[in-house]
Amino acid sequence: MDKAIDYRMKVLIVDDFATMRKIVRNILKQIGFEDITEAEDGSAALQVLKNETIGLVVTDWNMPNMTGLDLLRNIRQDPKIGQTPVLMVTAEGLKENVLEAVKAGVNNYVVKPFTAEILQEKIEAIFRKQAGV
Amino acid sequence: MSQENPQIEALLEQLALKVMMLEEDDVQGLGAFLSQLEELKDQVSQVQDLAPFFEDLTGVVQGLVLQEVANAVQALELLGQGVALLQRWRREEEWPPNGEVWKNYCRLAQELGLNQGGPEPAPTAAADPPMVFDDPELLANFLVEAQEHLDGIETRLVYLEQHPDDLEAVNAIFRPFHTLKGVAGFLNLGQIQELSHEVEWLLDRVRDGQVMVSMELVNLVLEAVDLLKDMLADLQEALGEGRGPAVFELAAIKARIAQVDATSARPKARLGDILVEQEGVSPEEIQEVLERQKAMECSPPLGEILIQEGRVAPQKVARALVQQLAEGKPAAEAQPVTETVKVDIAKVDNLVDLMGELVIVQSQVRQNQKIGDLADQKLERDLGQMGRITSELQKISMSMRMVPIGATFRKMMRLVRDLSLKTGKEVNLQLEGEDTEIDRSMVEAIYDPLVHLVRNAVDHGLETPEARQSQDKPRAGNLWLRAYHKGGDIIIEIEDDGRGLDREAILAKARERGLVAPEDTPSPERIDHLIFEPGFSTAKEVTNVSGRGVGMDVVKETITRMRGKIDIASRSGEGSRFLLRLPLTLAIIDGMVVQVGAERYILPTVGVQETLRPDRGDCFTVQGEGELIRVRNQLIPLLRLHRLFGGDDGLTHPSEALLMVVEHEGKKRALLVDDILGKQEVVIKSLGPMFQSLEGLAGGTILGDGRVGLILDLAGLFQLETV
Repeated sequence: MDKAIDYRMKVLIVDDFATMRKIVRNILKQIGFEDITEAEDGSAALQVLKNETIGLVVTDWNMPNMTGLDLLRNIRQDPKIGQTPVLMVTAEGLKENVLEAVKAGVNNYVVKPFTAEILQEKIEAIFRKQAGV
Repeated sequence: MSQENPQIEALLEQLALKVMMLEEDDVQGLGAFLSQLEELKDQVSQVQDLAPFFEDLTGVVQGLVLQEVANAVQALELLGQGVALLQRWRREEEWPPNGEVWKNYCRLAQELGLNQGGPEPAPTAAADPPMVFDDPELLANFLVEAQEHLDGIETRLVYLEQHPDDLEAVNAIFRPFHTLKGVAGFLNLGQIQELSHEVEWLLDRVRDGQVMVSMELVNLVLEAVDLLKDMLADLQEALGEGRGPAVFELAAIKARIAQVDATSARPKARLGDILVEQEGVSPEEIQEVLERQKAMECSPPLGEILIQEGRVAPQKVARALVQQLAEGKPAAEAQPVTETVKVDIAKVDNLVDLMGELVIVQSQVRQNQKIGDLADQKLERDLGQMGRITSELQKISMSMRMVPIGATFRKMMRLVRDLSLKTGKEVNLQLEGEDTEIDRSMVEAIYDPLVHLVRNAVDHGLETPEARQSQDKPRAGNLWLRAYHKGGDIIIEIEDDGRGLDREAILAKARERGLVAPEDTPSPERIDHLIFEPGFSTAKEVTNVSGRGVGMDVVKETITRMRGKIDIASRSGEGSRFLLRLPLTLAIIDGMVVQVGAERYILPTVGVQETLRPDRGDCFTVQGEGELIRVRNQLIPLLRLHRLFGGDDGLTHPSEALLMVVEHEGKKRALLVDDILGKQEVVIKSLGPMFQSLEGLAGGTILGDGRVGLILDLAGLFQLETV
């Protein structure tokens, strides 16, 4: 376990596919997170973000209603939640997506399918940076 | 000589600051750096063309983000040198610069494999071996969800075929395939992942306009959907049997997907055509200009010639050009989805069950004599309030089992499409009342009858386009599926504007089968209903579409088993309409509570026609026919419930007791009961497997006083009596 990460924080998983949410939830639990909540798409996620204190958002790119990228842009525009770390999940081979998200201020990204180790590395990288600031 | 541009200075300063802090795994930092670098590039491009240099720099940052750079330390150093070079260029206004920094930069660029054009995208490292989740629950979830997605894809595909320009529809199909691929990767379902990937790639080309939406394309994707469904079904089986998934043959379909090539590319609408259609330019004029355009040496675009020669106003050409570009853009926004929670259906069923019990206990409390004796006004009020809340709760819990019928209807879209291809008939399917809600348990039950009726409508009802044209009907036949609530029932209509029922053929067939006596001339309505007789089929030739004689009788049986009714209205040459009337739910029945001796039975109200107490003179015993009762000059067989179910302690003579005249499938019976106790809605409870085979009883219920009442099954009762 990494000291930079506060494992008690609430993590929000955003994906329209319930099975995928479950997979990510399982992996997050493996890493050590316990307080995990879910949303079906970008707009639902924004609602959660407005009502609860979220420590980290793990969002899919590809969703109906509001894509992960639009969710990210919405978060960054909102002064209240603009600093929330966002980790984007994308499928392999979609480099343009990654670069677009990176320019929009995503904290890190992870390519499907990923292992617990990879996700942990990415999350650690995010919070090491946050702690360093 | 560079112009003053404070923005360039500001950006350079920020970049210089950021580049010192950059780290290879700080994606956010790299992202901010990349954005500013691109901004700077835009600003600088107005002053001096440093595009290749900037491309190198952005390429390196992108490489760092995508983890495609072999040596991150060198890459970061190069970025530092690059920013330094830009700062110097700003001061000295000289490019390419001289000196140590430039040499250093060039060396690093060479080592990183840059050559004034951005790094060659290094092949991505092989993906990590996917994780295997030994979690059957997760897999089961996936199966359900994947199935839902595939169903959704099917209906969207049929929609897409009719609206080939709706790019949002392509997106809506692309998205679930993409998701399927992603999740299948996690679950180690290689073949599902592979096939989804192929289709996703194909759809991506459709989105890019490289491939046009055509019937062949839709067919191909539908085939892939079918194959995926087979895989899911196999997986389900494999899960149950504890074996691994079977291996499917994918090479053939993959080859065909690969063969869908650019020849079917979406053609761009021609400017000339748009001008003729929208702007009132004559086709001859366009033609003439086009011919001269060919003859010209360096032919300018059509629009330019038209404007120069003053033939068409520039605004018109501009409008047409905008339209040309706009075609193929998404047509409509997707509808917002209401938020839902998925709940295990067993929980809902349990809740509904318990609510039923609560309602019963609640009325027991209210009817309790001792509580009534208290004559306490407040208690009365509170009990009344509790009664209202419980019945409201019951309504809500019932509604949780309700689902819109739309999903079932939309499954018919695929069916109609396939049928119309097979039969060569053009069909216009129209859905109405898709939001009408129906009990979840009935959705599956009505599916087969609905499929059968829709098949019949297309196969027998609708004519071929040629036949329709010769009768002054539009080539495409219409087929309506409607659903609505009426009087506490749900009505489903299947209507076509085809040839209508062929009564002569039906009657001839019925006579041949001995269903109608030769001398008998039944009314048109009765003829129509003959098609529901067992073993009846009017199809002159048996096609693989309309099946082999197992048909309408099964449909009718299924509907009757759901305590529903089926009706036909048909006019020769104008079409037929099948009307299904079904109860809202299978869990509750509206019944008359009757007393027979010491027992109480519940009769479904829907079957009861009248109640009466006959005169002695109206009761007859006929040899071989049993007991008959005369009701308004009609003789109705008498059925003694106490004899059927045992217990001879009731009233025995009809003139002392009550008769309930019930009707089922056009036949009538008079049931002998002691008394009617009331009419109420009762929650049906299964009698359990032990009494599953009890003829004449549909189930049991707990009555208001806590005692059990048996619910009569009219269909079974009539059969019981004939044996």
